[in-house]
Amino acid sequence: MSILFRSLTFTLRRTLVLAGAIALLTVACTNPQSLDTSNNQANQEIATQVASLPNAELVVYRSPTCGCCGAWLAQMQALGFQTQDNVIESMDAIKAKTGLPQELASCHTTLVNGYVVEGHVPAADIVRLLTEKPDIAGIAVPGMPIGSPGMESGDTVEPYATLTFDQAGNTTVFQEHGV
Amino acid sequence: MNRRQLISLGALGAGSILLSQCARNNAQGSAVQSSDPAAPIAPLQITRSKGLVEVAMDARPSYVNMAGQERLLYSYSGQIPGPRIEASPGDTVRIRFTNVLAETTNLHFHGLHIPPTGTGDDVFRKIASGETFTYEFQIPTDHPGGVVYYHPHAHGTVAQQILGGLGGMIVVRGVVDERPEIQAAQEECVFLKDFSTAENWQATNAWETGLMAGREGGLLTVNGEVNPIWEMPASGLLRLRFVNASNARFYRLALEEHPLYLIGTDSHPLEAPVQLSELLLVPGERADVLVQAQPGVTQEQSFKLMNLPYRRGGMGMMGHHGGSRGSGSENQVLARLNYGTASNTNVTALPRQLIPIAALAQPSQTRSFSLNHGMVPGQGMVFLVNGKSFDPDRIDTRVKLGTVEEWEIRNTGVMDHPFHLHVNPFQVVSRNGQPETFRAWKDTVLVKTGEILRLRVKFTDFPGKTVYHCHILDHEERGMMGIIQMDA
Repeated sequence: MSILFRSLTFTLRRTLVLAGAIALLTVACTNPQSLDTSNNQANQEIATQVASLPNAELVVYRSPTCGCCGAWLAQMQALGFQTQDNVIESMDAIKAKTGLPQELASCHTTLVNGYVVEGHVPAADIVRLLTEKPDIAGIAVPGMPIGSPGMESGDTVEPYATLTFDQAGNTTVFQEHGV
Repeated sequence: MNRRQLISLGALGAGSILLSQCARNNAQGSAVQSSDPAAPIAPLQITRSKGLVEVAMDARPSYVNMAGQERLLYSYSGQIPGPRIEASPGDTVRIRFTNVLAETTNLHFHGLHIPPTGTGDDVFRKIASGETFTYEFQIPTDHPGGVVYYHPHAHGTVAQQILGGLGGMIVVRGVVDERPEIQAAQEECVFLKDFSTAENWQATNAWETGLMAGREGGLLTVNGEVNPIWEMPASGLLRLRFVNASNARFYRLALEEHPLYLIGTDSHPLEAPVQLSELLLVPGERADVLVQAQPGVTQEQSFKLMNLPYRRGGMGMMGHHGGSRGSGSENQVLARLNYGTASNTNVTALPRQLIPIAALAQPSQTRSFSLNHGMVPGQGMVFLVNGKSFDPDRIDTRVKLGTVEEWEIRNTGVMDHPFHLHVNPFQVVSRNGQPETFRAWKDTVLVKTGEILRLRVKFTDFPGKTVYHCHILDHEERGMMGIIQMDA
């Protein structure tokens, strides 16, 4: 009896595992984060939204050796964001000044309309932040997830989340990506 | 009793015939046994006679009970770690290896000085799903005694298969093992491997850290077990044989109230024991350590083997992933040592001398390798050696057998990288210009962020093509590997 139960559990679990794997593959295949920001409908929509935001200048701080920071910046510029590019030697001071919780850190740090935008945050999330104007200190994509804007690597996309944070260090999920 | 149980017991029986001294007071053996979800599979076989070690084993998906849960992982013949193979210098090792996984795999014998070609340590060989290949090689008669780490090395599936559970040990018993102090020591193998806590480890968000840093799992195991308890002899020596079999996790090891006496690095003995208060072990590294029983400790008193915090990436590299915090913020308990009764040996002193290590001659050639990651047009974010990501059709380094070279390895990035060279061991000369404090043979060495490490290597015996790479296997898979051609 117990052996039969184990077999059933195994079968069910295997099916779930397979279903999960297929779902992930589908996501990876249908949702590539393209380096090309000019030629797709979603980006056109974001560009339209960016154009309608008044005074949304991204003040970006990045280190001179950070290639993916530059790739992210180029994508934001291509979508129509006004930017101010600050290439600085040490990122530690700016990160400390923003009050960013350390575990949310990424490579580059951006300030816009009183908010902190940390790391490889997709443009759509910045548009939403500036439109909804929530009572938070900022949003962050911690680390450097492969497949996030500026972090493309072949077809690989690993799931990641844009998180909110406040001055007390509380965080919530703002938007999930790649899941 | 059903067929699955029979196979399991068969594997245990065959394995236990040749169970090494490691874990000898662990009646079950240390390897986790599994039930088997797949179709008929030949049972594991290991036999050893007259200089021939014969093994029949496979790589397969299997249900493994770990941390009280059945998990569908990858195993060698149902065991995590894989079957332990015992051999001596001069032995011929023949492994009839079947790939029951759905993807390509192969075997790398990390630490063996054998040909990188033919049926030897050929990491370019691809064994397709369903195929069987027989590895056969002779361990050189002058090979040192040490722990060899076998694991998959088919580029494109390496990290995946290591994270899934593949890996095992070949214990080569050499001259050093005949030292009376070492013979008298109680031996435990310590195969360190982290697993995802998620039910489906193949989900890309099952890990505590991302691909960029290298994936770490939240479940730390020692010989496939969580927090095993070993008996420490109340007098005498304990020999701990560490393998870091993780994809990316570093282990900063310390044993409460006991110094560690390092007697071997990677697969090689040292000249004399070196006392350490802690030991940093990076992926792919091995360490042979003696622990001396402390006088006055009462029976049943327990000491923890700890993994201390270590930060292997600069700000922003590690992040947190899958909703949980990455490693490195607090001590983790790996195992416990409980003092038992006095051992039946009166050998309690450390060995004074082990095996002499000759200094290498002046190099006839010097080379420089820089390690970093970066954006490459058409590839996106990749990991690089000398600005190039791995190309299986390119020879990056050509060397001549019989020559000594000095290599400067520069980590110009913001993350630590363990550098591994196949087939020929090397000696570290200096780090950031500071001479190394003791001579040792290595095949895997940490090059810290910003560090400039110099090593010397003599290319001997075996012509052919092999690789050097970062042993954070997510970095190797994303390009941090080069091909070396060794010409006669």
